[in-house]
Amino acid sequence: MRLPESPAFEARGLFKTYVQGKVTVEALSGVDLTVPTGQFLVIAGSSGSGKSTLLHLLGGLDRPDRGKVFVAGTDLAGLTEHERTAIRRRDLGFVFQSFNLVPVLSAYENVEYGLWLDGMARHERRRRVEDALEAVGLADRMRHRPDHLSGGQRQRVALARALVHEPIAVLADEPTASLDSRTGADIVKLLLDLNATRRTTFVFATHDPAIIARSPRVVHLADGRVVDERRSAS
Amino acid sequence: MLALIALRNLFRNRRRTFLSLGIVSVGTAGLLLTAGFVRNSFDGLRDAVIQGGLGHLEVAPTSDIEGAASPADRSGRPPSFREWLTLRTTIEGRPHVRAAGAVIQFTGVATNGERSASFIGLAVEPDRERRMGMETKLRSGVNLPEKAALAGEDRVLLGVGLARALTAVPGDTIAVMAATPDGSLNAVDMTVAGLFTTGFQELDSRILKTQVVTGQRLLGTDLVNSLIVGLTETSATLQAETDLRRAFAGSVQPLSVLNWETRAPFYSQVRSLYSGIFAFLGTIVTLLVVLSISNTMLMSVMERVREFGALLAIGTSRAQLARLLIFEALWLGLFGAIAGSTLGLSLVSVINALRIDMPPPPGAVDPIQLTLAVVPGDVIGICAFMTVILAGAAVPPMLRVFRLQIVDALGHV
Repeated sequence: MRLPESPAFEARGLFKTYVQGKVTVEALSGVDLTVPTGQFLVIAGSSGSGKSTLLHLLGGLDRPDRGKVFVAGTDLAGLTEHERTAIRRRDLGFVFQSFNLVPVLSAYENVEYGLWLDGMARHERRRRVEDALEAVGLADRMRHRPDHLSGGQRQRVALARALVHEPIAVLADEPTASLDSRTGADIVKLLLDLNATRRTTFVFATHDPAIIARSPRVVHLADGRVVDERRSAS
Repeated sequence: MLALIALRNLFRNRRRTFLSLGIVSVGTAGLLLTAGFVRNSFDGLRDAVIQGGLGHLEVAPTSDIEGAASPADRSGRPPSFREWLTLRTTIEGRPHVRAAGAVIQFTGVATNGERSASFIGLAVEPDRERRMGMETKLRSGVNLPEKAALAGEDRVLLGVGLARALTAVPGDTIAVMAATPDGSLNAVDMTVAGLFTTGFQELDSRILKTQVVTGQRLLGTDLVNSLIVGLTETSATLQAETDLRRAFAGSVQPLSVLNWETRAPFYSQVRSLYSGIFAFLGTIVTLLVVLSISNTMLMSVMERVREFGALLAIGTSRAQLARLLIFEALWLGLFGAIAGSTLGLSLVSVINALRIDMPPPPGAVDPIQLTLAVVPGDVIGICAFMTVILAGAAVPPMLRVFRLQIVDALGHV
């Protein structure tokens, strides 16, 4: 696990607007946020509050209109697309609401894919993939394709894919929204455990009150602004 | 891994994949059939040219080719060479040579007493023609005898059109008149042995063939104009041509060696024409296939926008996604080409077995049989072409992927 001295994420004065037809939507209006390495952060807010947009900007999936994003001290604004792609591949992990696994690959191959992209040797890939699937409790489902897995299992595969290359941080955009409450709670517990054991930074966008209640740090967004922040004693 | 994903992606929508494979297969089969037709036409025309009398090579005095020089030449007839018997023996001893036969060309008038007609005459050696595999298409009667005719026993073959003009049939006697090298007129009575066709109406109405000895008797000479050389295989033409040129480089009488393709420029013209037609048809077929597959792939990409967005998000480069699409196109091309070759070869077998007659080409006499000649090189070449050209079908979907915004793609429904 790589633990940089700089914060995992640092956002300074982020602004982002979207044009939808003739309407301009101000998704983010001057957001400042620092996420120390190893932290478990929930970005909470209702639909349209700017959670996903903030997550996209932190993950280098989109560029802000104004402001800067630093990932482990690296300013994303100064990077080419190729360099941003490399940062996403090596330093970040992503978990999506709808899993977004490659349907023609098995659980094992889905997790292996990112390591293959990075040019890792086959035997090293094998060790890492098996460890990652073991960690999310899917050691016995490695050869199953996504359509033969339940929603919870698919999200565990997605989580293994996000963790297998030992990233600095994992960004999860409403990862429990497509799951029933019990499965969702299991996933959150797993994320909290992994955060505790591996010290992987997690940034988690959700509006699920049950999850928000369990998170050590919660940042509330409304209309593209940070309106509240809560940190638990722990 | 991209190749593996691409292969598996083909089976995601099997109906669409089978439709695409069908398009590629039909395109491949179409190209194969067209190539088979063109190749057969080329081969047929080549063999007709060679076996129709031109032979693979012609050896003649240089002045034959480069312009008249001797007194005989100035009389308007082609020059000749005297040592042709020795030369023929030398040529027949060279590698790849099956046989060599003398030829005399002459013109004159033939008459049966009531009707007369001008002709173009060829005096040949029938035994050598047979050994060279040359074919005389007899319509009636018999071929010229292989044994040299004695005086008074001269035989002639008439083109069917010339025979019609003279109302001559096998067994009739006609008088054949021609100018000798010294300018006087000579005539020889000849018995019509048979009627033949060259395959071309215009030529059939003018041509007659007789033996070299008869030609020499008619022209009052012991010379011949050239030696026609038949080879063991056509592919050895260039090699044999070079060999003979080298062999005759120091001969007393300068000799020229010309190959059949040089002497039959219409072959190259027909070949160019057919090649142009094949290229035109091939371009249309290829364009149709590429556009169809491209459209299908574009649909496939549109259905996978979210997946592509996720792949980009987790660190796949756009170039890698482009390679994924190229692999998909290449797989389609490869499988389609294999299936198309199987289909094409089956159709070739069926068409050849049906022995379909096609109308005679303009100016020709006989109908031609629709026969398709396919060689392994054509099959491999067309399969490779189809596979590679389909990579072009991946270009529009690739451009679409290059324009994808990750955030938009992830939100795509």
